[in-house]
Amino acid sequence: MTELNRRNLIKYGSTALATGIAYGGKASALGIVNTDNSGRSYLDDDRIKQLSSIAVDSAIASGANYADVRLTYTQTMDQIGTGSFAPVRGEILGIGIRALCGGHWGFSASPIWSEAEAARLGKAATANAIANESDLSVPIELSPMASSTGGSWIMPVEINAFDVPYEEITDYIGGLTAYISRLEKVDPRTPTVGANCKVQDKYFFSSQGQYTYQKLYNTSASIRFLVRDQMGAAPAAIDFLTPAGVGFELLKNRTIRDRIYEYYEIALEERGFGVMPVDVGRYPVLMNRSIVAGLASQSIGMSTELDRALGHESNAGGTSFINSPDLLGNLSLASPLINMTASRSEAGSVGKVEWDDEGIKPTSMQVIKDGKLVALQAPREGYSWLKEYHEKNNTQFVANGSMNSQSGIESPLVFSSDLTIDTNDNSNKSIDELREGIKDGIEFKTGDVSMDFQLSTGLALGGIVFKITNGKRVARIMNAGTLFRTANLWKNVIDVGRKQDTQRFGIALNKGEPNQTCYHSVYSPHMVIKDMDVIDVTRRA
Amino acid sequence: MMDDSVKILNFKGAESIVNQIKSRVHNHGTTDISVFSWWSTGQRWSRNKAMLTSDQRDVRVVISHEFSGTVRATTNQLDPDSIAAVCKMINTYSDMQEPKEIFVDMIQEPVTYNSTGSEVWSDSTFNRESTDNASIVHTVSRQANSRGFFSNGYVENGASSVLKYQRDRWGREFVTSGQITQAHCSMTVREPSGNGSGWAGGSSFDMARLDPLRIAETALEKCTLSLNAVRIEPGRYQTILEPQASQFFFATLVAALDRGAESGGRGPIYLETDESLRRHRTKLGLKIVDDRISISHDPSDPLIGTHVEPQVEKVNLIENGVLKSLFSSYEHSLGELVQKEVVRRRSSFRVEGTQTPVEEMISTMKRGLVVTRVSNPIPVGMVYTGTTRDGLWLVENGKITKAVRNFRWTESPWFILNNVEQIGQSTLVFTPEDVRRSLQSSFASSLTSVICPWIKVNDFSFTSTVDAV
Repeated sequence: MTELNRRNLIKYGSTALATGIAYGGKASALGIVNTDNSGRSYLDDDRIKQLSSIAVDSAIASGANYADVRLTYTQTMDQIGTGSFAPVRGEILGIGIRALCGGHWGFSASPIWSEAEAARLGKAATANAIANESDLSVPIELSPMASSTGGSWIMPVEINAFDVPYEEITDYIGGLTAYISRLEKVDPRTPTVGANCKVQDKYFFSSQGQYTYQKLYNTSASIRFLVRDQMGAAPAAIDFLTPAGVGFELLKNRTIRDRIYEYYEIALEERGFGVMPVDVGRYPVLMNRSIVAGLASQSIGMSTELDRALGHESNAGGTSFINSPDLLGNLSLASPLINMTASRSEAGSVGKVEWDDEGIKPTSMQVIKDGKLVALQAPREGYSWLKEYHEKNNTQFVANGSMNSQSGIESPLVFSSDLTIDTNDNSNKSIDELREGIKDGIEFKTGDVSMDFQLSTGLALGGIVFKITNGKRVARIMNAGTLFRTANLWKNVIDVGRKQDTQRFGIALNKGEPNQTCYHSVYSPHMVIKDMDVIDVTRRA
Repeated sequence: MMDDSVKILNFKGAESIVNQIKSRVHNHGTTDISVFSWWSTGQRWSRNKAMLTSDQRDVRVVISHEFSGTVRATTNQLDPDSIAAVCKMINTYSDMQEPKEIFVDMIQEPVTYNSTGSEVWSDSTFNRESTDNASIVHTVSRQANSRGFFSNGYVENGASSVLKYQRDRWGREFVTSGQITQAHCSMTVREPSGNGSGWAGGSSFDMARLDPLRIAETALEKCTLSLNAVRIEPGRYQTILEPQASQFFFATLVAALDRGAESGGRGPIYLETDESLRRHRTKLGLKIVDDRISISHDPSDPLIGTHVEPQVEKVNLIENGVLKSLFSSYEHSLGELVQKEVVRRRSSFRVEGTQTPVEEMISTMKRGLVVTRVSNPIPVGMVYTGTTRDGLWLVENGKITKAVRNFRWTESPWFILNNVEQIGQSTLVFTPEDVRRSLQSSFASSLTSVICPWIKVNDFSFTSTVDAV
């Protein structure tokens, strides 16, 4: 683990800005220097420790039993479009203090890093918490920390986009576009390549002694093009560039052209399919892994967030059909073939951290085991919420490290950790073999998921959808969708693709008031689900 | 520049930042600078207990410089060194660009600039602190607790200011600015076993105009009325949409009113292509929705006013069902070489209502449904699909007879706004950021205030039942 010191911060880019040395043609910095009156930058480890300590001390001195502070320095760089020189850069600072007083939380945040502001925020956070005390208040107990944790961690990446001259990024993207444009039958008006890179320095300090520093990356990209000739047209459904905890190597790597070519060849093959309308009915459906990821993210990831399960989101994003801890170990939610694990330790995951937004080291936790619900994703406060349940069942509460926020300006919330879908099925089938097992069915290759506000029923909206007859794709289907109940969906899984075809998908999650967005990764295989109700999504009643 | 005594930047503070930037950024090309500053305080509660009281503020300085390509940078650091560094970055990248030939100098921007929007401002809302909302939470929580229900909700007040500066490639300078206060309150009351749910909410620029206790009473009443909901068959029903539900369809309609359809040759207001002139035509001047529907934006409207509008005169978008105006950007006007009257996007709108009370709308309904609000609408081609939420009732022979389990609906705004049976009273609807974002368009996400009526429509399409209560 890398020690938190000025040398390392400079090495990894953060305090390079503090020196006032700007980018000099590099994409490394917009140039936030954030100086005080003496010209000294706050982007310095000693100063950050000092600010953190002032904020937390101020909250505690004002009457808080517990306080924590997050300081974030976020750099973003977007290259949208192709071949054009259009840098879009952002650098944002945030500081947010959370104070716990008795039974309530207070939060206060601003973009200003200064001693005076840190002290004001600490005091304000406590005042906010105290204001809520009433005869209905119930004291909150946080789960004990295993031990006082601290340290620093830098997400390993191969290429830090912010260290690469911007012209190089533009040239590279232009080169990829030119490569795609030269492929035979690619509609020359269609190729676009874009990239979004983010790096965040995140500091956490609490009144219980944790002090952590992390440098986190979130990179995503998009490549779009259409192949078209007299046989028809089909888009290249490139799905491996979703948000990930990696650097610019997501787009710039030795195999990228080969992978683009694979998707190009698939599009060439798919352009030849005729188009037919939806024949509404009940079918076995081969869900490709990108849709499986969307389904798992919402119906399992979000529904196992403890605050949703207890109804805390009922005025906002919605609650969960899992509405009681008593369902743990008792609710059969999926086929016995299915296991799902929530974790933030997988390299490359967009949710990967060393500590969550409460200073907890995330633990890997099975949420679905042999088809049964076995755990919920909980913050430290969940210890209070579930105390009665755990005492009654003589079980141990675990805060799994799922607290998250995109910046110091936002108050942390429980967001699903990265999910891995695993199977007890050892049949090791490729997607072609899964398809071969279907006599009369449907294949959803791409699409979106729209669920109700308790995640109990949903609609998978097909993007690219095929009719399968005798194990072969025979036509494209327009406007197909499938309605499902979450419990039936996962229970009706009859076949799971081989592990080597499992792919990582970065997915946005939204919740809270005001609304907040965080990302997690879902590792999902292809699946065959029986008895799916396939409908025409554009047909009104 | 911005310290603990400053919740939001005032005009002078923002102007000083703009002056620093414009003196540093190259003066060739077009420069846009916007300084947006906001503060909000919110109280969130759940299961009759305050969860979190927050107090947040932030600022965004966005600099965009266009020469041949566009360079854009965003920061929230206002110290002179940071501002200087950002400007240096903009200039460095700008210097790497080749100049672009621009021949269009004949179009004079017809807009009156250097204007300040008519402010929608409430001092009491601005001065209200996070701790002031605590009593609201205590009262509504006790109210729900005494009836054996859980109250969950959010109350927020805040303010924002914006200053936008543009210097075009001919050196002309345009400035707009404005500031608003906003207050939002919404709550969901749920029966503890999940057997019923009721929602109510509202927004205003003035916290004093919101009545959280009335909102709480409505949510409680709705929860009570929604208990023991029954399943009925999906299908087409005559439907009364509360203003909170109707706003989705009106906002989707207003979002589509863009002159871009003229050049794009697509979208719901595209009419036809004139092959001889090789021009696309829109439905401007034609009837596009029911002739009782009129939609306008009037900056002098005391309930909606304006945030920062480049134009200050009233615009009628739809009058008695006829499309009267389309929004158009300056860039689009340049591209089309048009110098006709141009209407810029507005940040709020009003749909005219009537004096018809909802009781009359219900009493004249033979069999139909009343919808409180819609959830998670997403586009599917030209239609949208979503679910009903927190209150759905069956009306039979002029009376509400039972609560109904929620439905998934699939419907087109154009269809239902052409199948209007009755229009009721208009009211300000609940429009916090996440609700606006769910309206699925960048236009909708910038809305500040929306006034919509109750509407009764025929043949609203409910396509399947959902389990969520």
